[in-house]
Amino acid sequence: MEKATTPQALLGIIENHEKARDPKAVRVSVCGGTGCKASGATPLIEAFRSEIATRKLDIEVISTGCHGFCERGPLVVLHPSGVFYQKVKPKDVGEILDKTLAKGEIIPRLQYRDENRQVYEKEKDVPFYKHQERIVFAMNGHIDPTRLDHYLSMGGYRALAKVLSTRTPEEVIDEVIRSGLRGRGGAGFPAGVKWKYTRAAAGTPKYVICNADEGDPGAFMDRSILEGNPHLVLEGMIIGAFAIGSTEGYVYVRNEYPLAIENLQLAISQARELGILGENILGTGFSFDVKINRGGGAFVCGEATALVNSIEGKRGMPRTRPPRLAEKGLYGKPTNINNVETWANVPYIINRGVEWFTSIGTGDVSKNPWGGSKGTKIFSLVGKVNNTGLVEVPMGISLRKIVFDIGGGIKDSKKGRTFKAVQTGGPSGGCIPAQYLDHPVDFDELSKLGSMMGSGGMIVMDDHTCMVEVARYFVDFLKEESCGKCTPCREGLRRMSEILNRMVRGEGRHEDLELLEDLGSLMENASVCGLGESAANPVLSTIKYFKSEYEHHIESGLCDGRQCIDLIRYHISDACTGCTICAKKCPTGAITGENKQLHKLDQAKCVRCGVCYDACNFNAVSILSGAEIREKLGE
Amino acid sequence: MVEILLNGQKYEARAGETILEVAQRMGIDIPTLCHHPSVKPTGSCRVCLVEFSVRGGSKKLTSSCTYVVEPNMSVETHSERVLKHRRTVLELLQARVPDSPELKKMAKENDVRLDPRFPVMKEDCILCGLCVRVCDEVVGAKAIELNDRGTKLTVGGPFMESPEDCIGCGACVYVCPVNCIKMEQTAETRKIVKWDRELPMRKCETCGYPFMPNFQVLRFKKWADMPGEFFKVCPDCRK
Repeated sequence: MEKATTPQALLGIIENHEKARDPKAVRVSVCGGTGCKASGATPLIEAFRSEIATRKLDIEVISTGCHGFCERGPLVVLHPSGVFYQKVKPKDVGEILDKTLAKGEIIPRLQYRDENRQVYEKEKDVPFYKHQERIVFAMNGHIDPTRLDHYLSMGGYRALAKVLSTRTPEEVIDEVIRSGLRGRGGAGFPAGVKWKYTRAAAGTPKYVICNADEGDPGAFMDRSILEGNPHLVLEGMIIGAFAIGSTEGYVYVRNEYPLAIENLQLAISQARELGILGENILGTGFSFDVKINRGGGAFVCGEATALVNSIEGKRGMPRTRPPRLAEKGLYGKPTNINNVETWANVPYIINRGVEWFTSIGTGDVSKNPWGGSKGTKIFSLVGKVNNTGLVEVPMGISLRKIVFDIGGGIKDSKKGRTFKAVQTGGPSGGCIPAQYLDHPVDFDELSKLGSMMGSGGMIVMDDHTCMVEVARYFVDFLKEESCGKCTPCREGLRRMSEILNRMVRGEGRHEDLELLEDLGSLMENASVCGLGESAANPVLSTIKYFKSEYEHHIESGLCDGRQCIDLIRYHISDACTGCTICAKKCPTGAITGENKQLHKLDQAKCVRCGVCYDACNFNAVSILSGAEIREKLGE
Repeated sequence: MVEILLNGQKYEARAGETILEVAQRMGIDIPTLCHHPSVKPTGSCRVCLVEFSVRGGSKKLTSSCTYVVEPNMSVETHSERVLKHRRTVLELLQARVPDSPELKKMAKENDVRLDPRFPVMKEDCILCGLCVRVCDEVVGAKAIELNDRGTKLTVGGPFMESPEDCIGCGACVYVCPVNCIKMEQTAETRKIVKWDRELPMRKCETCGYPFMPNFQVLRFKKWADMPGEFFKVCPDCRK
């Protein structure tokens, strides 16, 4: 790659790459993200390449970043037609070349079918993609993240060239403030305002940091952006550094993301070669470089002050604020930390303008950057929905649209499963019940419901989910991940965990609810950092919306979700046809019975794994809890 | 000078002073555990909670030992909200460390029930980290550390082994707010019981008093570039 020495020269290089890209060229995009690699994308890509080379075809195979629909991987999209294939294996390669690419014939076996067996031919028509608005993820399915020329051919680094040739730092900050871009890491602080504080703070050097310490279980949007489009994040950071007056940057990324680190490392060296990182960038006198700092896998290090301590080589424990990091951050110097997704939005705002960005989302940010939530947000949609994966949607979309249109509704709804709640915001988010399904999703609306945007985790729960067990699960996770520094978080979580573990065993007491609320209130009000302040959310929100479930656990040992194994019994009713399938599948031999005779379940041997329940085709196995156990089993 | 409202009264605070420092100077009693004037505050125990607002904004709780006064600030040190949460903090600490006279006294002064609503543990340390900070910031030995995290957090030498850099100075013994770090001394050795660190003593060449662990002498010579002669006699005989 030739080195650009002025913003104009950079623009020239970008234009050349844009012109060289033929939108009509035949390309095979194979998802090479971590999810698809785990389901076998690497040999698939090799198979495509070697087969195309053997046949001497003029078809480019691109190993792209994550497409988001990981559960259907490995994913293949054929361009320019947009034909979408899922769960593709290396043995399918020959057929795809023979039929689809040569003759335009579709291979039904590889097509996506929804839960109603409806078939979709093109990627853009698949409901999972159709209802999304992909901005940050727009390039992910088209470019090879290891190729700078691919990024440039899509107009990459145009925003940087624009900023360095036509903007002052103050103008950039003003644009970002007016765009209403709020921090995607969770707290939703307006990014431009933070930049302004850091620029105004006294002290040099100033640092900019990209927070890629994504620790929420099941959330992987930051990983997918970093591995799928690292230059986009770098471009955002360089623009931010220019606006803030920073000379040094860090990307704090967890060590468990090897592919993200590899692609980012490569992107940094490519950016140095292009002349947009390093001393005197594009001859403008602005110098900036980026280092990668690998995190050791502590959840709390995603908290900005703990992250700064960790980079300094100290224990990952949060600092009390004030002082703000903008005043005294890394090594005591002014520091600006934004999340991966926040940085990735910046080039789009510069390229397409404030008006375009503010046209997406909720509220009015023209006078107050807190006045709404603008742009899109990526959610990691998981749990009991038909389509799981990463979804990018405009702010203000309803939960119903995400869960039912994009997510394809509740899994096993034909077997009677229904929606119960959705947890947003990761382990310390709250659980939102069905009556708020039409509520818009944005920073302020979610916190009004006792939950939060967080980094964008979204776990859908069905009626077979026990909300007390949900609270216990997340409290136990947070108990392990709390740094332990302050009393409310450390001792509060310890006691919450004790109480909830008792409750799911059926040993709850009447005073427990009050205790949980007292502890929750203390943690919310008096913890040192955001982790402690939000750690009680799963408990407080489930008490708020599902109080009866707690009361049932305490009063009658009834688990509404039929999930707490100490409170349930499996039972075979008269509907049993004696098909013997449950007896064959039972791992402990608890079920006995002759062919075509009513089967019996020995409670003493039953470990309540639920295999019989899942196996029964006649709805003869039921799960009893509370009074039903006494009535039917006489226990 | 910064003018602040403290429990409804106007006070002149010095710029850079914390809320706790102003309150203590004015004779307002805010309980503390992890605070010590000779080390940087960390706000970990949360006993010194106060409620504040700036320019009539929303009221928040903060640790008074860490929060530096701001203009137009109003602080309540004993509001209902403060007392409620302070009591819960003390109740949680009581349940963790039930047999500390210091903690019992503080609990009594703050109207905390003496029978915690939680199962009582048999710990002696409240994990405030003051010993660690003193060892680092005042002594400079950096011998002890917080280990692990969350509810498994403990304090001790690296990897919870006996700390090889401990000079046996006893600063941690002196500052511990719940007095859980004990020191045993004979004519021959000094032992910091909690760290399982036992060091042979140096005797004064003049009076024979075992005044300092040998290891401490070695470290002091290194840190302060002092002549070996200096440590042959005890501070009393040196006068």
